[in-house]
Amino acid sequence: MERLAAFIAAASGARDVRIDRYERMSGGAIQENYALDASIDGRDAELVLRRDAPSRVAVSRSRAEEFALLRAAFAAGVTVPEPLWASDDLTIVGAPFFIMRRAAGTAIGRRIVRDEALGGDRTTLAARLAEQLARIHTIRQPRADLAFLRPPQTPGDFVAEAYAFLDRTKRNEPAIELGLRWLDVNAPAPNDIVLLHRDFRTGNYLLDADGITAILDWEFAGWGDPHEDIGWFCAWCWRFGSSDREAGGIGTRQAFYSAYERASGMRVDDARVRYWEAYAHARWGIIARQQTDRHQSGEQRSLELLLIGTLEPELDDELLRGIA
Amino acid sequence: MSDDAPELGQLLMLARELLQNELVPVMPSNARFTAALIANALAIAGRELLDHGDADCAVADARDALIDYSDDRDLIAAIRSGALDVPSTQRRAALAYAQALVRRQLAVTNPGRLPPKVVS
Repeated sequence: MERLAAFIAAASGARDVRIDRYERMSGGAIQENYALDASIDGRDAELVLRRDAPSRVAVSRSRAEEFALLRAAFAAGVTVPEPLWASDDLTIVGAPFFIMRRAAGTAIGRRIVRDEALGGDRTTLAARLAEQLARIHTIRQPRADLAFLRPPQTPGDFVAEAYAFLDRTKRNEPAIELGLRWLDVNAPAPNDIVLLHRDFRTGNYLLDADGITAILDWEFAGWGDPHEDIGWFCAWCWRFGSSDREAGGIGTRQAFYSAYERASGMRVDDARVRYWEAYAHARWGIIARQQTDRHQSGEQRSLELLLIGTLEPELDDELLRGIA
Repeated sequence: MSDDAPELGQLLMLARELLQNELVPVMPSNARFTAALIANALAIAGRELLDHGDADCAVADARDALIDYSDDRDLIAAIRSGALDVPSTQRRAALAYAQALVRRQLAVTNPGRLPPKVVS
């Protein structure tokens, strides 16, 4: 802890740093989050330290890249925990890490769609979420600080990767095959390229009684058509049982579109959004299969991962509905 | 399905009821998430033991309409090649077969999503 205190002092320019609490928080198999309470020159700070899990090869985005994304989002006015300092020095906590302020609230999807005391008025909340998304989408190329992001991934790229995965794991599943082929043939040409969150959905933002306290989980971010994020947010699979509220189980599709249009100045093309909703069910369906395989291969024995696999039929069912 | 299936189904149903009615109420809240996962797993296993003869027949009938393809690998190759892109009898048959397969799985994983049964 002494090294960490010294790092915070050097990074913040403080003279006196004392660490009062450093405790593992729940969630995250690839990254670990620690609640970090520190006294910095006599002022209390509630922080989160996010580091790579020591046992794993870094398969997802590096902490340094995630830190750069958070900084870009924070500077664009997106409600994210303020990113403070990052380090690749392995001698401090044993892995690369960064430190951000701690946001309060809950992110549990099922609770959020059911408990209307969370996040204030639902129509307003849907509008606020649309505004957050529009703010993320103000980040555009070229960005030297985000040079690590790959060129935009097209639906064709996704379909090719999905075919390779389905072949490698010897799956013969006509439903997802019909869906993937349809997505490949019907892919709309992007009319605008912006920074996408690519996992912007109910379950990935924090709410307290008043509203949004943080947009979380930036590890899939990349360049692409803004309709992709809107489709992901509206897709049936992220409504957590509140299916009639098509915008994330929170509000009406129209309220979400209108607020997005007001905030962004872009007209939302409903047909494009519907395309990306079909894509969402295919993409989540492939991820669900990959999660199941992590268990089957013995990499990580987990009932939770196996149960994610049982979502495949309903995702396929929605996909078939989307391409009908 | 073996003759023991009804008893096995009872076993799983009772185990699930005990978990939900007697254990969950006295569990600390951080254990309830795990308990919900276990209850879900027991429900899925129990539904696997039910009779799915009708859904199996629906799959077989839908497959029979695709005689041009010797097996599913063959059908998938045709889908990927674009041979089934345009509306046709074969495309409709492929969609119907895919739907029947998905419904057979939903009967186990999430029967709430199945269309209501037509009573004749």
